[in-house]
Amino acid sequence: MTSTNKAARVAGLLYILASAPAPFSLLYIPSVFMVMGDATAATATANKIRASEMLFRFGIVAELISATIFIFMGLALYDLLKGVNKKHALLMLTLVLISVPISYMNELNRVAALVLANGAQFSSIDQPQLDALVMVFFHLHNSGLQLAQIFWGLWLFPFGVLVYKSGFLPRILGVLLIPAGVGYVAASLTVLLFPTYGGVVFNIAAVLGLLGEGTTMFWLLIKGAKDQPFVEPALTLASADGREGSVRK
Amino acid sequence: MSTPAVMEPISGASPCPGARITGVLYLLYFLTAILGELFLKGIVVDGDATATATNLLAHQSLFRLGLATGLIATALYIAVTALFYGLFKPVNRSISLLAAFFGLVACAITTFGSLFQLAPLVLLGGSQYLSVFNLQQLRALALMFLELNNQAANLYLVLFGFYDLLIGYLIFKSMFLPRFLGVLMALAGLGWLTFLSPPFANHLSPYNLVLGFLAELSLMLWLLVMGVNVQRWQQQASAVGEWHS
Repeated sequence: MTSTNKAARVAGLLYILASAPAPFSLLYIPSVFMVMGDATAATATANKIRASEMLFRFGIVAELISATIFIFMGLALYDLLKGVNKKHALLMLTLVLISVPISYMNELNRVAALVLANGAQFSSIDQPQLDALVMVFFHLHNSGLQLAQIFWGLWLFPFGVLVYKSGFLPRILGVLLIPAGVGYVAASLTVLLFPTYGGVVFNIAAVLGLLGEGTTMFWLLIKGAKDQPFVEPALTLASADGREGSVRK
Repeated sequence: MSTPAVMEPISGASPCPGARITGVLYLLYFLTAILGELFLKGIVVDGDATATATNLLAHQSLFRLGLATGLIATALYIAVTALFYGLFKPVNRSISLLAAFFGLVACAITTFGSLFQLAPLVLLGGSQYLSVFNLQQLRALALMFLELNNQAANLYLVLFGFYDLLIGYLIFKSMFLPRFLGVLMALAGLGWLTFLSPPFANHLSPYNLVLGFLAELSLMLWLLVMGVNVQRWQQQASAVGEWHS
């Protein structure tokens, strides 16, 4: 197994590990705990958190583990792709890393929801009001995801370009990663600007994301990288910026 | 080294990572950051929860547009930070890396601060579960979150202070950018560091702010119009032998 092939498989494994907790932490947990609708929704939500506190805590920890593995996935992909174009690889790594502290800080919102749900010591505030604040922080956690999601989308642009140019990964993966990136950024901006259409755009983004990221992570793990380039990488890259070519090693 | 020799006119030297593109991204950062501030201008009234809430609900789209524009500005600054790392690596790799870390952490805090600006939209959004609060309480909570964003600003401005100070040092030590830009950036850094004591910073306002603005504006314009001295950048890069590491 060539070192490139091995690096690709390790990166693929980390990519899958970093993404695996997401459906549990970001989709399943909210679906269990978040009650929407009438005036009693907040109390119902807070009651659910009090009843299944451990599950709620698992959601927080899963997201923190995911964010932590994301760092090492970024480093692994940087190592794999820095030979293609060091500048693009660095930009990719930067955008990966910036999302991590945002994810970490964002879990503070769920911790706050938990503290308020168990907030017997805040007896000067009515219980219904505490429960409503639980709901506010639950919503804020969702807003925080929108912020992190911008970077979950942005890093896919340099990643897609690097995969496309690599010569040891199929170009189609690079092509699929770009719409995935567009999808996440568009979904976040839509929620921020036109909240009513947020749900629709997010569903499209989820499909695009699965198509681009899902395919890529499993390709990396299962197929690794080709020993022989699929296509001869252009020697000069014949890009508008001809200097780029010689950054290659 | 698989790179064909024809690509390398100077042995071991690498072409300078596009100062122009850095300048262009820097310019776009300036434009989006200023635009974002303009959109948000006048909506938050210090210490007046009622006026703030009324403004916010009346200009909700503008407020959201300001937030989104601000986020794009931060994304651009992240790209500039990454490009600066490459630009100043030949001067001193460790300090360039340290500067990038300060810049990125500051950007992460800036982004997270947007959450405190989104909170009022949740609180004033009229969800039924919030009816357990009266209007004044909701408005007070909304203003509290907006003021938390100001507190977050005090934190990230200090980190940007360290960032500018280090970039100033790197420019001063570089052979490819004029030294006065380095001095200006270092002074700007000291200006932001006054936010270590927010009352002191407010006392010096707006001079510390103007300083920061002018320094970054000069650096941006210089990169955009003059670029860097590519030959000297390459000299410094090959002197360090950096590219072979």
